[in-house]
Amino acid sequence: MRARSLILLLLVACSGNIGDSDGTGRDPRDPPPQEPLVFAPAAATLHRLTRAEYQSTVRDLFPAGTPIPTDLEVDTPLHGFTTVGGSELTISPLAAEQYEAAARQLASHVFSDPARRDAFLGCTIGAPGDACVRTFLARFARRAWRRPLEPAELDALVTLAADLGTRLRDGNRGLELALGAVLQSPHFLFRVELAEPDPDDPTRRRYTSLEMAARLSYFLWGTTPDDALLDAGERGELVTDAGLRRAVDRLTADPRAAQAMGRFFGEHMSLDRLAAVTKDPERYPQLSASMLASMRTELERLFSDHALGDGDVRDLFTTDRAYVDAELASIYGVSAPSGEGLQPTTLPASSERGGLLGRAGFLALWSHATLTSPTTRGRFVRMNLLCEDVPPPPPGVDTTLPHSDGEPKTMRERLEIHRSNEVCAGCHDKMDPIGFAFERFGPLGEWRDTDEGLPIDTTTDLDGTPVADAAELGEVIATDPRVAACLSRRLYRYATGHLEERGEEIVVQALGEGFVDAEHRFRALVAALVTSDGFRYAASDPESACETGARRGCSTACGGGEQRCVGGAWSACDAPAVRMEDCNGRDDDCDGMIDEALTRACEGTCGGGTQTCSAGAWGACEDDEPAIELCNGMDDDCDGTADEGTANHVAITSFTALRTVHAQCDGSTQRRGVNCNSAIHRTCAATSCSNSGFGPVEAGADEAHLACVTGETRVVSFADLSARHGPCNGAPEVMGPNCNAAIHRWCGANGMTTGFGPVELPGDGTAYVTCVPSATTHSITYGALTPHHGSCHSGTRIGPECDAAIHRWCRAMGAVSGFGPLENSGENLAVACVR
Amino acid sequence: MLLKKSPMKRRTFLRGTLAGVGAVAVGLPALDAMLDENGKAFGQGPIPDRFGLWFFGNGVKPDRWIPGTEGAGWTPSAELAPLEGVRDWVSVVTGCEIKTATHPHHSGMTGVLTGSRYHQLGTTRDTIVTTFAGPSVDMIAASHFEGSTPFRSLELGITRFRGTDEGTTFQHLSHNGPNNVNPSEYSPNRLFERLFGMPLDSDVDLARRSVLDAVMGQVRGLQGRVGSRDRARLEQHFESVRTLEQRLAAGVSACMEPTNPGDFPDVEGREQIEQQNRAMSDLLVTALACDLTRSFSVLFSPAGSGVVVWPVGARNSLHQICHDEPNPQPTVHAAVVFTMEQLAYFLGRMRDTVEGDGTLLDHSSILITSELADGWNHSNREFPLLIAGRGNGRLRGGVHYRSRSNENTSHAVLTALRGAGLPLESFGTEAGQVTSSIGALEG
Repeated sequence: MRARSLILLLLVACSGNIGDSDGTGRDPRDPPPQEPLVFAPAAATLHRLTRAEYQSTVRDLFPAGTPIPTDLEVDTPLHGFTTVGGSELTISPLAAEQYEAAARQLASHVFSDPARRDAFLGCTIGAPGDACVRTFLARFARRAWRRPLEPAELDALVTLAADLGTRLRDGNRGLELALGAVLQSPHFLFRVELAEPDPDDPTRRRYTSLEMAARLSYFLWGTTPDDALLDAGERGELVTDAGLRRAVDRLTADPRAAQAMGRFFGEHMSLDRLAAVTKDPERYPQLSASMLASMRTELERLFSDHALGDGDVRDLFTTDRAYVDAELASIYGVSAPSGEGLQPTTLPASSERGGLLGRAGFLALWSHATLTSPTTRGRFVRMNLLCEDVPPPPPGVDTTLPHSDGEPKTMRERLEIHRSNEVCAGCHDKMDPIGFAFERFGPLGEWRDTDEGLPIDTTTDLDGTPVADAAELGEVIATDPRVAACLSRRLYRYATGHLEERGEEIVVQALGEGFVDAEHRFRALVAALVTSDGFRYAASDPESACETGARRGCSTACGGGEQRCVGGAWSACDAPAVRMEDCNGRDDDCDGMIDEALTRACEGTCGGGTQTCSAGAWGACEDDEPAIELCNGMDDDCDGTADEGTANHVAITSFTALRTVHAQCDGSTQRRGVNCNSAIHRTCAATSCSNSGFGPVEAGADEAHLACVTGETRVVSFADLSARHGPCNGAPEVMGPNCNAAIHRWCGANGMTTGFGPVELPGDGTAYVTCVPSATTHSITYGALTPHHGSCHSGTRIGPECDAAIHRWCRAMGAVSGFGPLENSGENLAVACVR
Repeated sequence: MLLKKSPMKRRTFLRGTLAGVGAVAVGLPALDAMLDENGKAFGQGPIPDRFGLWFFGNGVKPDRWIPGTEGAGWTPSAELAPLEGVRDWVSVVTGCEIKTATHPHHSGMTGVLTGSRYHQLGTTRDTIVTTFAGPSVDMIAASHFEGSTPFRSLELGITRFRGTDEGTTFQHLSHNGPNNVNPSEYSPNRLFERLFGMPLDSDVDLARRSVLDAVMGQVRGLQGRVGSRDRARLEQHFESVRTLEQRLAAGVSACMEPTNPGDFPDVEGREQIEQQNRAMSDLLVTALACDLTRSFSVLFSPAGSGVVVWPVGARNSLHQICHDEPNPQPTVHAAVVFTMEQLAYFLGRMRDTVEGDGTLLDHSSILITSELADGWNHSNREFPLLIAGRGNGRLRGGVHYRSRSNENTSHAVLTALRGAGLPLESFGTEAGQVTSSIGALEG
């Protein structure tokens, strides 16, 4: 009985003619004819920025060269797209922490250098919360929140910056931290779209002109609107047909559009998953991260060639153009190109690969580690390219494939069970036959003559159209009307950030038809999409719509109030405002805590101290002790000048930033060594308090801590260095323990105590080294370093572990950082600490 | 289910007390500093309860999982043999099934972890995309413990995520509600930094809290202008920011600082599963010993996981060989044994961490389960369920309870929750709901 009902369920689910009657699904190609399609827009929603959108946005908001945060939550794609996940998911506690840290990291980088900071602000802050702060915040937040701020919003941010500046006795610091209230705001992390009543049609709402600016920008550019688009938004142009077209023309002509459309294509093809592809290392020792990256890049290049120009996007499925480097060339069996990176080439017809679907980026993704998978390859084509659904097997069904008793069988033969068993056949007939066309290509996408030593049969059909091999399948797919319709549907889903609803079907179908009329030019589809009603209008939300003049109760954290309906939308709530916490024994911000987090400046010996509020009263003035002067723009030692004599400090940066200084110090292939030495030296030399540096003294995935110092950078020949310690002769040895010793001795012999390097290698037989006369040297044992980093011992001697261990050892000694080994012998070594 | 929420307690932590101890090796009774002279009370109160969820994907081989004997002192089966060293703390529940099953992986995942059906997204397509309809079991516990520790909960991932995009059910373990997830941290380095990283100075922390206050005000303001669905999403945003603010308010909780284990990239194309498991387990045990959290989840591998368990000779993904390996599926079986070895490492560290007159494992209740019984047929019957720990005396430990009547998995889950001291009357909804725990496992 149970088995019988399962069979029925499966047969129904995969019959390909699923109507609305069962409430579970429908065939997207074929809406029931009895119901004429009427446009009904989807409800407006909040769109959380995807990880890529967040990163592109902060890149646009901050000066070039600002390290972009990478410790961010990984997106959860839904219905194939991260943008849909962004409209469904919210901000977890972990994500809130990451956003908080990211905001501080971004702000601290730009504020850490006074010149960079003032260029960014466009003015100089005199007092906390002054006109410079206000002007800057108005401009910055307008771009971050994609709209001009309400006066009260701007006042609140300025007040926050002023308050923090006063507390910290540093107006710049106050603004730096207050940027967190812009960058952690729901107005920033979510694209807020509320829409407004449509003056032409009271049954629906339209996205406001400013909301349209953000919708256009995030879809077409993947980032926040520029000033010109915001200006057009503010002028109301983006709710008019003409204004919208002008904006679309400008945005699609910009190179950022190609990048953003590439992101859509990547999600459409599930390319993000390529990075996690694993194959059996014994069978495919050649598989590497760079090979997987090349697979992805090839497909992106093909998309760019065939979709972003004026060509027919369907050529993607038939093109014989390929992009290969040596690794991909070996998979395709063509000769490796001579140039760097991926180079265009033409695949011979005998390769049987055809277009996109015959490439490694598709074939390797949809395979197992040692086996091909006609099922998953077919499933991808069925679901992502034809937009048809295939449900998974129900519980309790035996899904093991039969194994022969010693007799080899091809994968196709083993999958025969899917067709002969009626429980399986209903769905597998929609997947496996498509996949058979690719059986000449193994788990990595490589050509194979046989499967298990047996000849391979690639003849199959796509829903009745006969197909001989993968190349021919590409031709059939290219001309299948479902493919163009499906691409339109999925682009619409990606652009709007939600699974298309029944009421939008008329728009989706019209887009597909228009795409055909436009000879399958992708740009025409994009332009039609953003000017379509589905992109411009929202459902009239019964909750948010109202009769002008109506009233309703509402509340804030501090109490109840009332909202009035003005112009069809509810006004702000007039309940008691949530005020900034004051030292008065009351819970002003209504968060359940009284007088929390309140301090204020007071007069102390060091120019000022801090008072903390407790139970409605300010505590005693805690003086700041004069502290060691640091390179932070502040007068730490209270002698009236900032940063004087602060030679040495630890600067926190990223490999992303170091890479912009020296391309080879990229954090993946190189994390230390001469190129990183150079990047670090130059980075430290660019700040006002130091002229050289070493490191990384601590490093994370994309984090590098540099020890910036003031020293004497000298040019010295390797002949001179070799005279101090023979092996450091420049050919081949230019760095390492021997050169450490040579540099140390050379600096010492020249009266400058010790030094590090080379910080630059001009390649002319000389090295730049930095001597540090103020450093102190210490003879210690590796045993003293091991507690600071478990992997630094006399077996390691040198390397990132010992760099960190020496740094930490010196810090435990009260120094800023340290380097070494200067000399080493057995368990003993010498290190230098800088203070 | 009514749970009491208390405001954040500003626990005075051990800064100073332990400062001289320096790098204390985890496993020493470091927490004795927190205990009173008799070693029984913890700070101002009794030794706390902890609840954990430890999840692995693709099920087990039931014929080699079920212990041969029932009752106390069960005889280890082949797949449970790695737990020999902690057997006295581990109870095994067999013979139970998901009562809300309609779909292989999705039903099992939500059925066991929420006692409810999954919540399907989008009604117009039949390709299933789902999320949890309510909070997962670890979040029920987190609500109960909320306010007592700096971290409301911790979520860790061990093997790299190689799942599908069929909704949050497949992509995440810990859920607050529909499409409202607590993502797992997969980087030991980042977890270390989060738990034990350098504190900023107190002036800056105060400023950060003012900023967070301002953000919370912005969230509240926006909530009044959006529909109910977005209001709920913003409510989580508010809660997430509030959680961070409260942690800053509670101050630094210096306890003992382990060494940063760093991360474990693949070596010659092979995922370093054991190293990753050890590093994450060590950090978690330290966090629990330091009372940084009382609720946690470990996603050893997600539902339908594609992890390649190469240490046992697997060459294809676990999900794939569950479907493809001929019976009796020796590699799948070996992968389950391997998984239990990884669990045994974690439980062993819990057992070896002395706390008062017992161990951390004595004071915990940890539910261990998967999203289905047996990967090869996607069965929801004969579900794998373990409860580790003695729940401060509420759980007996070391008992094999075998149901003769295909009882609801929710009984075991409710047992584990009550074992951590949650005063729950029931667990689950509709067909998944139960009101009784398994008395045979309770002390």
